[in-house]
Amino acid sequence: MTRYEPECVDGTLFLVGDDRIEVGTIDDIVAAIGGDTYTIEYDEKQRTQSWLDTDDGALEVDVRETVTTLYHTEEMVSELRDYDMDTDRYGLPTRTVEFSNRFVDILEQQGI
Amino acid sequence: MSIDSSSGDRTVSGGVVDDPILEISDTSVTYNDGETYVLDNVDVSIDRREVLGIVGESGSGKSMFASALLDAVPDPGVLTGEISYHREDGSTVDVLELSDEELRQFRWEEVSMVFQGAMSSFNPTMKIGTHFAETLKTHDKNVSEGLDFARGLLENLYLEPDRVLDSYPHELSGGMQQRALIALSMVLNPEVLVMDEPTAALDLLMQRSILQLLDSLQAEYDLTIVFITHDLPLVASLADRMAIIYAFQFAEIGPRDEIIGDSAHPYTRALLNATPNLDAPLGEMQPIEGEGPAPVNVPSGCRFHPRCPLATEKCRTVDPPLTVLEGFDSEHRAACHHWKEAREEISLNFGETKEWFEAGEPAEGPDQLPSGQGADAKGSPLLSLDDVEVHFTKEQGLIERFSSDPDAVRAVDGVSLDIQEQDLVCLLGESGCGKTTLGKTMIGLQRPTGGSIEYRGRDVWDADASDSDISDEAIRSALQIIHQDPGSALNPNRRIVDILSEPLRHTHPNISTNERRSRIYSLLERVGITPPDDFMDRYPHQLSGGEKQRVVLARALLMNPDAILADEAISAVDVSLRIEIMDLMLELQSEFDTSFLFISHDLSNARYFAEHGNGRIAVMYLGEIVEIGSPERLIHDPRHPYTEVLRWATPNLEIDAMEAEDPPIREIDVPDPVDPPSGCRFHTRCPVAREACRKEHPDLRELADADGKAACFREDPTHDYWDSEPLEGAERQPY
Repeated sequence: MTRYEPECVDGTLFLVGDDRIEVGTIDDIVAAIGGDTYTIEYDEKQRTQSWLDTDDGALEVDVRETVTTLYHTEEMVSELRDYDMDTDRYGLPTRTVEFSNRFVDILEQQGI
Repeated sequence: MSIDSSSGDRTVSGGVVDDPILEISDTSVTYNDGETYVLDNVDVSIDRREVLGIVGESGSGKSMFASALLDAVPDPGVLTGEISYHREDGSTVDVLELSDEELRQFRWEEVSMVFQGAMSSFNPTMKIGTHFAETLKTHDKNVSEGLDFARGLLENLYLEPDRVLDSYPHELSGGMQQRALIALSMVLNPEVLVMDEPTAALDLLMQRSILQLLDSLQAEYDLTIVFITHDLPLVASLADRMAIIYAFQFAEIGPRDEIIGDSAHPYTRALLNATPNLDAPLGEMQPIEGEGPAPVNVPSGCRFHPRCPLATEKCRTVDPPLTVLEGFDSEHRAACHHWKEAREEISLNFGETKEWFEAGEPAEGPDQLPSGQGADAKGSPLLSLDDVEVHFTKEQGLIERFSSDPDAVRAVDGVSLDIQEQDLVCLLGESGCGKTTLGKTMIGLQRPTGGSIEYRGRDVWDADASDSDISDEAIRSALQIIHQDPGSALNPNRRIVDILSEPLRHTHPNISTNERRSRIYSLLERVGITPPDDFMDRYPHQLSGGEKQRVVLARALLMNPDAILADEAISAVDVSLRIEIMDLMLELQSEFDTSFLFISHDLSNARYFAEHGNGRIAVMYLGEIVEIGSPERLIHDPRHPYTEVLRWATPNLEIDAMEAEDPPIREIDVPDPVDPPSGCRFHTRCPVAREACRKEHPDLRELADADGKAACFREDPTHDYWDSEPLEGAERQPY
C-alpha cells in the first residue's frame, strides 16, 4: 500500500506517492474547512485514554499544520482523482472541497 | 506464540474472593435527579489476578459498570457508592475520592480500560508511535524502554511494529487500530485491564486469537482482567468467574464452570439456551420472549419476571437480593426467589449434538421446516451463477498507466453455484473474503466482470433480452436485500406506514389507501409487530433494534421476492432475540416461497439457519468458495482446513472443549486480495500445506464419501500432494 505524503509548494498542497496529485491552495483548504483551527471533542469515557492531554475534552487542531503533515492512503488519493481542479459554483476547486470534506471526516472520526 | 490455559494457578479458589483488588459496594449510576437508574446498587468484588467475564445484552448497564470502575460516567450521570482499589502493598484507594490528577494517574497505571469505541479516542493528528511516546512521557516512564516493550506487544498482536508506530490512526484498518489500542493499554503495565467489548469489531478468528493472547499476557504480567461482552461463549473460554447483568443489576455471579454448567438464575439459563452455538440440538435452542427493559420502564419486583417462565406473585412484588446460594462449594450468588426450581425445570441444551451426529441420527429440531431443497434439487434453478468473477480495478497513477497492468482486487473469483426455488444458502467467511460482493452479485446489485448470472434462465445483465418474458423490473423486485444495520436502512423522517407503503406503490399501484393500510397491518402482525396500530404511525427511532429488523423484513416481503439476501442481518440484534428473528425468517421463507441467501461471519448463526432450513453453508476464502455442504457435515466433518479454522474460531459452551488450543493456522492475517497467493490461496496459512499447494490451484469437487464439495487436494488420495514436501511450518499429516 503506497502512502501519500503532503508537500507544500508556494502555498499549494500536493500529495506525493507513486505519483503526484494537486489538492489545492492551503488558503482554499482552510476556507473549505471553515477556519485555521478545528475543534474535536472527546466524551468522558474517551478522556480516560492517557494520551489525551485535554482538561475539558476539547482538542484544538491547527488546520494549516495538520494538512501539511498528515499522510493519506492510496485509496483516498485514488478517490480524489475522480474530482478535478475545475472551480465549482462556490468558487473553490471541486477536488479541494472533496479533500477538505474527507479531512474533516478524519478529524471527526478521531482516528478511525 | 505460547498459550497458557485459563484458570491456571490464579488466586481465585473455588470462586471465593480472598484477595480483592477492587471492591464495589452499593454502587449506582443515576440520571434525571436520581429518578432513572442505569446501574442499580451493585455489590461485587474482583479478585487479584482473576479474569472476570461480565455478560449482558445491549442496554443492560454493563458498559456503565466499566465506566464506573474508572469514575468515568458520562455527564449528567451521577455515580454514588464506594469503589475501593487495594494495592498489593496493602494500601487502599477510594476511587471516587480521587482528584482529577490522581484519577489520571490511576487510570492506565493501575486500572486501564479498552473499549469498543476507544478507536475514536485517538488523536487523529498524531502517529500511533506518538500516542505511545506521549503516554509514556505523561506518566514519567522511560520512553525508549517503553517503546521496545510496545514493539513486543504489537508483534504479539500480529502487527508489524515499525509500520504501525509510523502510521496515523486513519491509515490503519479497524482491526489493526483495535489491536494497537490493546497494546497501548498494556504499555504502562497496569494491574487491572477493564475491557468493554474490546474485540467486537473484529472477525471471530481474530477475536479468538486475541483472547488467547490475553490469556498468556494475563499469566505473564499477573494481570487482573475484567472482560465485558454480550458474547457469552467468547468470554467463557477465558474467564475464571463470570457475572451476568440484567436490567442494570447483577443477576448471577460465580465460577465459570458453574455459570455455564450449573447456573441458577432463569435468565442465565435462558441466555445459555438462546445463544446460537455449535453444541446444542437445534430444536432446543429457544429465544427469550420479550426484550430487556429500558431504564425508565423497569418492572417492579424481580426485573426478569415479565420474561420468566417461573415467575410468581412474589417475583412481581419483591426484588430478590443477590445472595450466596446454599449447596455450592464456592461463592455462587444469584438474585432469584426460585433458583432451585430454575435448575430443575429449565434444562440446558448444549453438548448433545455431537453424539447425535456420531450416532448417525439427523441433528434436526422437531419443528424443522421442509423448505430448502439443497444441492439435490431437480428442475431449473432460480438463480444460476456460472464462473462468476467480480474484479475491482484500482485507480492508477500516471506512470503506472503506461507501464503495467492495472491492479485488481479479486473480490469474487470463478464462483459457480445454483440457488433453487425456496433454497437456503449461508455464505460464511472472514471480512474481506468477498461474501457480500458475491451476495450482491447474486441478486443483481453488482455487475460481474466475468461469467454469468441467470434468473430463471434469463441473464440478469443481458441488455438485449427482448425475447424474454421477464422484465428488468420484475428481476429487481424479485431479488431483495436486508442490511446489517436496520437503523440506517429505514428513513428516520418517515413513519413506518409510509416506509412500508413505498414498495406497495410499486407492486400494486392501483390499490386504495385503505387496502394498502390493511395489507401493511396484516404483514406487521405476521412479523410479530403487535398490535400493528401502535406501530404504524411511529418513526424508526421509536422502535427497538429487533422491531426495526422486523420492519425491514416486512418491507422486503412486500415486494413478493423470490430471493432475499440477508447481509449479516442479525448481527445487530441482541443475543436473546437472534433465534427468534432467524425462526421468523425461516417461517416466512416457507410461507412466501422465498429463497434466502444469508451472509454471516459466525458459524453458529449460519449453522442454526442452514440446519433449520435444510440448506447449505458455503465457506468463502479470498473470493472463492472452498467448501460447501450441509451444516451437519461441515461442522462435524470439515474437509477443507480453512473450515476447520472457522470451527476453531467459533467459541462453544462445552467446558471440556474450552481449554485453549493453538489455532490450526500458520498465519493470522489474511493475504492481500490484490495479490492472492499462487496455487491454493489458503496455502500461506494452511497447517497441512505442501509444495503442491503452492503450484497448483485445487478445484471445488464433489466429495466422494459425503455431501457437498471441497477444494482441497487432500480429498484426492492419488494427488501429487501426498508425495510433495510440507511447506515451512506445516505438518505432514497423513491421509
